[in-house]
Amino acid sequence: MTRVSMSVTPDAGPSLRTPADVRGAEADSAALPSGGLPTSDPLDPTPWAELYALAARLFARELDAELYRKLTTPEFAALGATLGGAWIDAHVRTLPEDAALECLAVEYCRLFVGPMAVCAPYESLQRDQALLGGRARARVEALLEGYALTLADDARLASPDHAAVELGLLAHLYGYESEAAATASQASLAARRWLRDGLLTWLPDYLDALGRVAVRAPYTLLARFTAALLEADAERHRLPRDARPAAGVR
Amino acid sequence: MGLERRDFLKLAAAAGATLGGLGTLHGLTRVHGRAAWSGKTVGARRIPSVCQACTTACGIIANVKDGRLLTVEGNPEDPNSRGATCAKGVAAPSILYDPFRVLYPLRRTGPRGSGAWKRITWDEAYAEIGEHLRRIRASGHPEEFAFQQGRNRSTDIIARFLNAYGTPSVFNHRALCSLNRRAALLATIGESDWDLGDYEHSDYVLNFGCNFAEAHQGHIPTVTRVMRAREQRGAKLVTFEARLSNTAAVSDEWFCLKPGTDGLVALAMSNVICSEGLWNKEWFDTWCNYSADAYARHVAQYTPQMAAEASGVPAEAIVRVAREFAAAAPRCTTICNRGSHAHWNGFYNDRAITVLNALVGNVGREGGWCWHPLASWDKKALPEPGPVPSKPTVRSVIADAKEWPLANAWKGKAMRVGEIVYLWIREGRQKISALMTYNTDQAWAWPEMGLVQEVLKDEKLVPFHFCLDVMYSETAHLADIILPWTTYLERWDIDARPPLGLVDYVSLRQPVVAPQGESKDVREIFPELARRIGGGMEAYFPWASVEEYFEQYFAPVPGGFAYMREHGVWQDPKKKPNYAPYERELKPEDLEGARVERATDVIYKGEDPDTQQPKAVGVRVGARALKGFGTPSRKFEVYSAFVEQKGQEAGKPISPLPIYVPIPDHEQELGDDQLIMISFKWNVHNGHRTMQSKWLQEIVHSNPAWMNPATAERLGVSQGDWIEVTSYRPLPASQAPQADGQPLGTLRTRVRLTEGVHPKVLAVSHSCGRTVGGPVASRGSVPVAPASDDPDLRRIWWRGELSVPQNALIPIYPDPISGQQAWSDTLVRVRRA
Repeated sequence: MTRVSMSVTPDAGPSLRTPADVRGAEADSAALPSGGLPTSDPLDPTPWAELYALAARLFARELDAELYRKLTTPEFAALGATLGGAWIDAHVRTLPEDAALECLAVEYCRLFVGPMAVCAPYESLQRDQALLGGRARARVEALLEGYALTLADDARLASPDHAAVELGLLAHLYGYESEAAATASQASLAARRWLRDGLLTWLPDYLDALGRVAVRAPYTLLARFTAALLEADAERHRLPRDARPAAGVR
Repeated sequence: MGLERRDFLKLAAAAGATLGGLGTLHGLTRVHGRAAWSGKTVGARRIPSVCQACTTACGIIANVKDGRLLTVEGNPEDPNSRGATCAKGVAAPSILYDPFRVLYPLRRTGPRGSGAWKRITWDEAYAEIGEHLRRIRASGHPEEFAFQQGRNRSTDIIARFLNAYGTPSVFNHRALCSLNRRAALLATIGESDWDLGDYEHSDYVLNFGCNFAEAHQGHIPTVTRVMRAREQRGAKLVTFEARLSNTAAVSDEWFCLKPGTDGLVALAMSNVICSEGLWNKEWFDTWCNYSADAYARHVAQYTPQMAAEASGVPAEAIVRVAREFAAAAPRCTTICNRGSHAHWNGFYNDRAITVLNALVGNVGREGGWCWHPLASWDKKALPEPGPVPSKPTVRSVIADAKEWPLANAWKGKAMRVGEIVYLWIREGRQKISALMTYNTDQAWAWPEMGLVQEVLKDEKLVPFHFCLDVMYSETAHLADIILPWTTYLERWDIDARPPLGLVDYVSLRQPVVAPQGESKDVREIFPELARRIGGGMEAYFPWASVEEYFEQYFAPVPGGFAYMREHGVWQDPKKKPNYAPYERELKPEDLEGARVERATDVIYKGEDPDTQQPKAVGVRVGARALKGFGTPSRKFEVYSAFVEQKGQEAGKPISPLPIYVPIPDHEQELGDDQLIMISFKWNVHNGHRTMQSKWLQEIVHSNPAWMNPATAERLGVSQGDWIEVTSYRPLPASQAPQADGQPLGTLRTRVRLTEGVHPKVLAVSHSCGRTVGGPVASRGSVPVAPASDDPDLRRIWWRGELSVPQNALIPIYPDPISGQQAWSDTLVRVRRA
């Protein structure tokens, strides 16, 4: 059983790399298409894995100093600009780092943790029923078990059907795609299936809602970024953006 | 020609004869194991535990599959609830998996009450709380740490922590609940503060305002026994109540009486029983400390006509019911918990009702009015594992509440006066440096909730406030730190309630699933806090785990902890029902060194360690030395010199005999627009803790004001109209704090017209009017951002429906001698809005 960090990155490490890091020194943000998404080699899964890992990390827990600083780098600023926003508000950037982190932690808490989270990132809550967990949880747990994954000990989630886990799972599957051919083929199929049957069934609508209620970056931008990521990925896989099941179908 | 039933029977018989011996033909084979009949959850692991959706503590079976709770059903092995559970119990998954539960420690980041929070770690929470508590304790004033509890079913661990810390400032809600009932019982029989009619074997149940079908603390065990007696014995149930509750509705007769006149009706019935010689004079004269003739003279003043005028119950009905009650003796009993006592004159009401039983000699008899000395498990047989800290030696002005002489009059039965706590904090009567709120929402559930909110918001009055709860409440909203608490489905407890079967038992609450999120119970929190506070506190928490502690606790049970985990409950098969305990003979060893006081026949032996007075152990009746009652006279005290003395000490005269004292507010000439507002609970709700359950909210989520059509006509009000209700503080004659008869508050609500309420009463239910806690608790007033077309949360079809917080209108209104909150005496003025 592989124990992975909450962001469920393929390398199982807690570190988070920007797209520029992934592509190496020679790659630049110009490689990011409009919307900040990779197009130079749409079949290369690595950047997709990293972008999903980024989204997963932002959903998973509050910003720490390292990520905060990373989000203020020029690379991220460029990516934000292509999405029409900033990763960190100008006002927040004027604050001492501790105060800035607290300010962003309050927004994270308001949106995702509660009390009375205004946009709780659980599939079960958003799609399935008014009880936390349930069928959505069982499905994610089964997948995690199937892919020999488990949540990290420090994961601060009420249920694995959390956006961070579901996005992280896709990142993980894309990570496998860069491995041996047989595994890559299986992982590719699994990733497509998870995108179609999992994320696209609820996340686009959820992200719309998040975009409406988030008031502070990076969460305003996170909604846009993740929605654009899903849309581009769906297009890559020739999937409809909105794969919600028909009414009444569970 | 079609086949008739008998043809089918013949055919079936023939088929049976023909096919016999061929085995199953329908493709199914019975396998070993228990069949899961209709309604049972199939394929799940069955884990016995104890419910705490309310405080009745019914035994439950949790059906768990793959670590998820699917359903809850009753545990047939539980001797109290016997396999029954109510809607609240069945709704457990909706509480456990409530998506708006508090699941992480939170610290406020803005001003108190601003609603801005950030998630912190448990370590950060422990550090901050531990440092506050350590500093207070080190200052030599542990009483400045106050503990406000609501329902406490973890009494062992909580008392352990608070006693080890040394604070006496433990504020419970007993005065908001059952204080008067308990005081009346302690004054009368001494050894128990909880009466348990032997309903199942009774032929006549006389109910004064107790809504046991919905809101009694022994709800399921009581209602199932009463209903069984009705079905199997043809028992009669007669209810006196100002409102047609669901208990009144299932009664054979319901008499709609004016609030606060229950005791007068009981006294008038006593008069009928005495004057017509329907009494059991021999029992009364043998076992009461007041002669039947003297009592007859005392109650002669309370005529049925007088009671009829005051209560609205016809005199002939009072007479008839009195005769029926006496004729059914000894298989008859009264019940009145949380009804007759929740009034300004509630202590006297309950004294009068209790003595009715003595008059007909049903006391302790099969099918009669009974009790059990143990309100929980047998603590001698199952002692708390040591080391057990001793009780604090410092005092708390607020907890002692000496202005109400009966509140804390009985040793070991401190009842406090919960409704005055925040008023007294505001008045600066006791300094509070830190407050912990545990499983309660005093900022919404207390009378004058606005005052409570004002005090909790004031950082000078309450400098540090941390709150442990399952859900976000009005009180949590005013905390500095919120700690996420486990539900009763995720934690351990030893528990038991007063046994309706009259034999004590013990049960185990055990986690049926892992705690959600980062929720924790006090059994994990308090030991860690004790370690952080230090100063010797940690020595009282030597166990490596909760399981280890309960291994030790349940060791005396045959089969020990393992048996409890498998069955959830244990009852000593050797114990017999507690019938007529007062008639038990004292054993020779009990009498060794004892002496009898000639004037009273009381048998004394040794010295009471608390009072340093001779200790009464029994009473001589004729030639027999019997155990008697737990009172100073060892008799059923119709005349209580004890309460009389307590009143004299406090400068508040208390009648030693049951009397009727009219409620001053209700005695004035009331105009058409002046009504008495009463409060009530629904069967699906229990204070704030069920408010987040979508399943229960779907059943009851609104609380329009019940008004009699005749009253409505006089006020020009129609069904569904908006009305404005203005409440008033009690008159100065009530002796209540702030009693000036002036307006307290106003709210708008709508009218529900019904004949099921007294014409001078406006009935408004509790369990509504929440403003926080999520979209379910607040019926949609708290916004969320659902994403799809089909989330169940969007099906809050009652979104925005009427739901008002009645406690904004109810004044602090204690019974002047006991401190019991008079929930059902508030005067209001009503006008069409």
